Amino acid sequence: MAGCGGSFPKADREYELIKAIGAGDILAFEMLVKRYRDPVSNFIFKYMGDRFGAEDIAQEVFLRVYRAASEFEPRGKVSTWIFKIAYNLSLNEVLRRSRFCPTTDIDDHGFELAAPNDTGRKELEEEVMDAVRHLPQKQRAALLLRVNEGLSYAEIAGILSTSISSVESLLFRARENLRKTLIGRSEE
Amino acid sequence: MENDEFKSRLSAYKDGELDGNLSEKVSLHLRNCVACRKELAELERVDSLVKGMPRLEIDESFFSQLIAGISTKQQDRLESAPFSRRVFARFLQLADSIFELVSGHEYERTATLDEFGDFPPLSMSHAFFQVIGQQK
Repeated sequence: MAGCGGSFPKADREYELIKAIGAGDILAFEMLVKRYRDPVSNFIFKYMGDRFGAEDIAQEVFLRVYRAASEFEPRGKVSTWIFKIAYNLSLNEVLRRSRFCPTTDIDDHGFELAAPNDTGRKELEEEVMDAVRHLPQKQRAALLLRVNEGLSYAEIAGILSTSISSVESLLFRARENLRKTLIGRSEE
Repeated sequence: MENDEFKSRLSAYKDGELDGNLSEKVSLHLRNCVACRKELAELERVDSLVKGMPRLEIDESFFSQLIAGISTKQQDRLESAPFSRRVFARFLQLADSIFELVSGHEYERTATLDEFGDFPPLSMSHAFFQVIGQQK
């Protein structure tokens, strides 16, 4: 699922799903997990730059959704709520890791090496992963939520607990940073 | 607006997040400004590179692992619950098992008694199926 922002069914149907999960409906939970596991796991993976950690965090996200479903209040979109949990857990994990090993740079992203004829593409992918990983936390989250998940500035503002104008500024700076790193480098 | 100010709004313009009036101003500016057109093209290139980042393929066992995790955590929470709650939970489990045992018709619907004929002769299960068998 590339952009979850526009492709989800009506919000009230998702509230019904959450209500059913709150009442202990496992089938409803399975439906929600199937709908969100790819975008959520990929957001976490790209945010953290680590495959194995991403799977664990994604599991924890859905565990929290399951536990909190009965108390969910429909003030915002369900997708925003789920991504907010994912963002908070990923951020905590990144901060926890930086506390324990501040100088460690994760070079092994956990995905398989490409075939020899894909080497150029693989190098580019790694370069992009690296550049994204070096963006400041909020810039990185805003960029991934916008570009990969297609969320609106208002939704991103809700997830990052900031204003819409801050999101605009975060995205501008994130893209500028990447432009200088990736496109500036390739033009040299 | 100065050229730099236009440049700083290109990201939001590209995302369709500028209000109508401002978006129109940026569109007009782009027609005449080569530098901003180049900048916009580069921002689009950046987005396509980010979209092309490797994707994580999720294992099919994701949901079953999740359900196992939920059961384990519920069990852990039960283990750390107060004594009275743990006793009550065990009592409920026992009551549930007894109810399943005495509601024989459920078993008649799902399997034949012959399939359960290999319990040791002195076990409770053997005695149970003997009784059900006689009732049948």
